[in-house]
Amino acid sequence: MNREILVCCDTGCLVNGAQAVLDELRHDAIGMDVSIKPYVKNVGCNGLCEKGPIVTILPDNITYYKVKPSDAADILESLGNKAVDRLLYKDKEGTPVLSRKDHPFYATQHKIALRNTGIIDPGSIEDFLSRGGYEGLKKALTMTQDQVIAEVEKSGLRGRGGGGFPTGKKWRSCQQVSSDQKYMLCNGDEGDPGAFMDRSLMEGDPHSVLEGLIIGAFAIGASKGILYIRDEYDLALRDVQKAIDEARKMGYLGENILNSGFNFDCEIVRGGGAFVCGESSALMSSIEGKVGEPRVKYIRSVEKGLFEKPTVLNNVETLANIPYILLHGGDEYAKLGTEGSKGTKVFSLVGKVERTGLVEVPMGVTLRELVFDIGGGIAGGGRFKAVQTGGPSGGCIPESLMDLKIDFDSLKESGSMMGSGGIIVMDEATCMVDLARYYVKFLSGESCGKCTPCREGLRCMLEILTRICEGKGTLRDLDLLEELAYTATQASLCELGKTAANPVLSTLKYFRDEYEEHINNKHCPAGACKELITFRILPEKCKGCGICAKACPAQCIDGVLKSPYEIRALDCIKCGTCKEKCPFDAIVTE
Amino acid sequence: MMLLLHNIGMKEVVVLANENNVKHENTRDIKDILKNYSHEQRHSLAILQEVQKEYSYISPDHLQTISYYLRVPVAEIFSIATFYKALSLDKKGKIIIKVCDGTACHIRGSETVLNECKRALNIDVGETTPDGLFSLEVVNCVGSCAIAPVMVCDNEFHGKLQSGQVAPIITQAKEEAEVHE
Amino acid sequence: MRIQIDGKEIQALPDETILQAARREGVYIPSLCYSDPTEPTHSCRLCMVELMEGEKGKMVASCAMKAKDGMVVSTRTDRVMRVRKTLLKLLYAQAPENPAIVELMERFDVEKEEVFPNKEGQCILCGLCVQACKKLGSSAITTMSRGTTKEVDTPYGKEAMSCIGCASCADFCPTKCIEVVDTEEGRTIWNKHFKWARCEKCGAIVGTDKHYSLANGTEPIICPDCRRHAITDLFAATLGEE
Repeated sequence: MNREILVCCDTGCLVNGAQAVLDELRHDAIGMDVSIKPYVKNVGCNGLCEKGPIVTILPDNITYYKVKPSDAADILESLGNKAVDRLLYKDKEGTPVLSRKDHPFYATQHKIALRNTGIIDPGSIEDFLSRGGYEGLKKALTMTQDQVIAEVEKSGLRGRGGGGFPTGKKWRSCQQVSSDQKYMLCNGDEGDPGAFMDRSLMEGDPHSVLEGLIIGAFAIGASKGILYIRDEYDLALRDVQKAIDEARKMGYLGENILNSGFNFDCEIVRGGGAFVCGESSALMSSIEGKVGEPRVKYIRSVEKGLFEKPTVLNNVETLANIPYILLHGGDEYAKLGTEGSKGTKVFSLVGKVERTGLVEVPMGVTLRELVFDIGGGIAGGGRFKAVQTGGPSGGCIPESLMDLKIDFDSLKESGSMMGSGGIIVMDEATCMVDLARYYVKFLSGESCGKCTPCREGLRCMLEILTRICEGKGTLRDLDLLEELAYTATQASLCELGKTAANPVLSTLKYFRDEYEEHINNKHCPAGACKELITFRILPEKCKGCGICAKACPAQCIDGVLKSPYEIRALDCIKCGTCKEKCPFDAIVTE
Repeated sequence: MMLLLHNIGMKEVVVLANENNVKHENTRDIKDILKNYSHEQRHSLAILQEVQKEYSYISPDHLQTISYYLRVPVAEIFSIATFYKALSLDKKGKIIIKVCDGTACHIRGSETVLNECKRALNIDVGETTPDGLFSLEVVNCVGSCAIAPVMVCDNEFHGKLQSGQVAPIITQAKEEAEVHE
Repeated sequence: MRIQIDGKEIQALPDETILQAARREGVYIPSLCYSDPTEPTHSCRLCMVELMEGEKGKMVASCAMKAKDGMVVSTRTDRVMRVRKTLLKLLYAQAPENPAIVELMERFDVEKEEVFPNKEGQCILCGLCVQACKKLGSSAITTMSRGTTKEVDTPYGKEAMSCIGCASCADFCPTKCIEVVDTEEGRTIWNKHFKWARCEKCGAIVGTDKHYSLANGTEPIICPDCRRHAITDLFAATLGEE
């Protein structure tokens, strides 16, 4: 029988050499008998990026990890025979695991948005069609606009980009506005650092996003669409353009789509490297050829948006869910999730976690399950400290709240938010004050700069946080931080400004003692703030090998071979190279 | 081989022509970029990005030409060119090194990677080496968070970087560039 | 329609914002970046008020929110006052000692905050100058960059080709931070020098030469007074009056 060998060629696996693995498998398969020759294809993201390149054998459902080109011959040999043991995942007892169903990272996942990603060749519309692609659209075109919207309303789907606004409600308000021209937009400006869900969808299953866009356009009555894709996502831009070209050729885009009388076409607009352009009105300004400055939203964009016309903007992941909802029904989708947050969500689980990558789970899974069961806990033997959710608009969640069920409302109540789904796991080596400073620094460069509370608030907060990290803070600084945060939250023009203070407020709420430690004792408990730490060689552990001295870029380590070395603290630039290089763990930070 | 120097309008390039009259242009004329777009403001960012890609920066002449073409004041085009970080008014190096400082990369040691780059290139962030070969940038997230910390050198991704691995990557890029000269 | 501001009922015209209605009816709401003739920028946020919906209130910018019949607005709730004070401190840090801001601080009993680092210059980035130049001038100045490095300038900080020296920007600037140097001979603004266009009849200054030619092309330069006299003289001659 002819098997399929799927090789993940998304960016993470590509960096680890997936292209060479793909090429080698294809090359070695050439000589095989036609009756058993496997079809080797490249697929999108398989989720567990750190263990790539990932290769899957179908229909056996065997998954191999960290595959090298030299493994190709063995893999081909193993088809229909015993699996290649060394490439399999081994559980705690050391037992090899063949199928993902038994792999703790994959076992409890439920893929709806990612239903095709990692299984189809993203460049092949035929592959997409073979898995029910565009069936959702076909069904929608036999319904009325009202019926399509009703299905989405029943599903309870809420915006996956961070706003969490009910998608059905948004479509309904726009559909009710009469206009000669409406626009259906896709927000592919995934700017949250630490998030790559939308990238993987655009690269791994672009047609699903397109299908969702076309269905949405039909529902609201839009004839033109735009996919605004981030400048930094070269591959996504290329893959989505290819999908648009293919869809047009096969009649899913353009005039009289599938003979329904519905006309819709779309194009890509490339972002210019601005996080603020992920905000809906800034995104529309950018498409209009202006700077990406948000506008006041007292008149909603469903009434007057892009070029002053009624516009709906949906996130990539939101759109990827739509074809499923049309095909299987909104009620089916609503069976998953919690009362206020239906369906599934894709998360990017990254940071100091054992198994990093993309995960799709039903809403309502707890943070603890996500980080410890699926993620495998803290990497490198450290101790869990907190997770950051919601990117620069979100907040941190400490250990005590890890049993929170993940949904829009519970995360908001805790002082954070869902955001686009980035989950950054931190251990005790992460300084929470430095984290707050990091986010404020990020936002002070990304803010559009138009309004006072955001621009000046961030400028002053950055100065204060920097001083605290340098050991020059006062307790009054904490009151001022809260005051600036309050003003930004109440008076900013857009959501970037209104949520800009969340990282500061939530770290102050749960880790105030760390701030006070920096201020009162000029000490950084995490050992991260450079100005407050000193590197020291432990004489009892130092073997006098001299490796540190040779590696030191500041030439500040003195000593003779076989005797304990010493760091000249005044000249030390605190780069940490010596600590990294020391084979005896004899260098500590204090 | 004949050497023709054009000084007409906005053409900034030296055109080399051989006996067979085959032209080898170093860069496209800005007019060739503009002709693909209608005279509408909404194309401003796309045009600027094509100019950036072609010339490694946007010159005062470019701003003027685009302003005339789109019928948008020069000041506004200047505003757009300084707002978006994909655009630059200073000439970028042939090879752009981007160190990702996304949150995942940040907590996994992007600062160390950045310091190694600064040391290897002897320039600061936002600067270009005197030979015009390398530019160093810090970017906010390239979306490869699972293999943090990440550095992109000439559009090639490098993940899970340790400090010792940075300089060899840069050295190799330099060697490859010199081979192509 | 009628709206209520701090318990006082006032009239609001169709399509008016809360701030416009308040201004017209003499109710005071502070603001620095609003001006009638230009497009609003909504940037200083000093005009924030609380829109009451039963017991709950919502913070809105009165220069942006259109008035609706029956609206109840408060300009003096604790929330509004707290935000206004911090905003003034932030504005002061951008334009230290500036009379316009000091006046507002005195009115609302706000002390400067020493910890907030002061900026160079006196610009509060309200954007009024850019809007004025767009509407009444020649779009010669703009905001450049973004975030905390945002500033107002001519392209490259050099002499702007299109500046006509009308100084509308300086007229509208709430902190009066745009330098205009007028002498007998001409005007210097934004690093550019202009000669005066003087009335051919009486020698009065009618504007800069560039400004006049933009508005009137190559017509002979006549000031409004002399033009009026010329017209009345013409009427007198035509109607046969001596």
